[in-house]
Amino acid sequence: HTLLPPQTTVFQDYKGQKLAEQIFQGIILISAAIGFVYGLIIEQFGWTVYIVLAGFAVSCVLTLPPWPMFRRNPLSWQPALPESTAEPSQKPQESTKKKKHK
Amino acid sequence: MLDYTPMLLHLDCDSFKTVFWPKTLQIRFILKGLNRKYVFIPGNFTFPVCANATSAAGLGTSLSFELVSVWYLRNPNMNTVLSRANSLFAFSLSVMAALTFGCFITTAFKDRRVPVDIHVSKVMLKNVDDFTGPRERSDLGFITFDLSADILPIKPIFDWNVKQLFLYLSAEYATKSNSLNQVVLWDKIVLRGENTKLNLRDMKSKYFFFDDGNGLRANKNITLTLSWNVVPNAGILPLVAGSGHVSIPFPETYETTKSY
Repeated sequence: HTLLPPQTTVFQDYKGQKLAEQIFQGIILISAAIGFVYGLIIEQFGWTVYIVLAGFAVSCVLTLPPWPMFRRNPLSWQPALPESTAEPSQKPQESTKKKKHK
Repeated sequence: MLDYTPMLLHLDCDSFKTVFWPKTLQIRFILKGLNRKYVFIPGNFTFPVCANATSAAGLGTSLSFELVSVWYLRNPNMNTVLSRANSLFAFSLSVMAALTFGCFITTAFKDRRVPVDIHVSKVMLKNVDDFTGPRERSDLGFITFDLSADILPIKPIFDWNVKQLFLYLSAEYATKSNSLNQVVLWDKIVLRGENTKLNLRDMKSKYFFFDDGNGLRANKNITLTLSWNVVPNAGILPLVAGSGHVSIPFPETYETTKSY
């Protein structure tokens, strides 16, 4: 009864999270600047909103899924202990609860 | 009272493998025999042990305990797709709010007056039953007017912060009973994208030109002014008076109603 690692398969690691946040902040700010100038030039605020929404969509695609570029610095895990053949000195645990605390 | 003896305990993890025990996590155990909870970090542990008379454990002997439950304490910074989506969305909304404010600021101090040309072609006056006021009969005026304004001068009035315009023609005059009367005679909504050259001929008033009393007869000076509200996308609604107005006198006599 091995315990599975807590969610190692679908998440970004810490450096990846930072990178993702930088990416989406940069994209949104750039699209906001472009949209502001463009809307000012053509005198229509609707276009500003459209451009920012496009930036939002691009950021969603780039940063929401855990792409490999966000998982380049995974956590280093302890090496596995060798299998123990001796009788355990304590009774095996009755219940193994996995609780996640934030 | 209780004797605390620190003990070095190497946790014999046979029933539970420490394979997935990263350096940054903590694992918390409940040791049933000791009736306490402890938090362990990988490596060697020391924890105070309460040795009392009923306990079989003592210094130097192996401690028997039962591993009851295990918690993984997850690092609080580990985020999920939903939390990333939440922060992305909130950031986008904040940026959008800042852009909207910028849109407002770029047009807040703009001068929106436009020269307007009003011409009145026909004026008629009647004295009719007025059921809305405190007296029996009030003056009712009928005005036919022409209106022309070019509201798209060199600097366009429909800039990026304008959704629509609300125009209204108001008459202003003084009578014996009231020093200032203002009556709205006609209004129009000009949407964005519509024709911006106003050229209206022979328009009849939309609303009744009732007087509060009988002060319209032989009134020398009724001033008609075109004003407008600019309805913005973001910010305050400026109320602008058009720079053209015309003063007309009202006739001395009442028109007799023709019956057909």
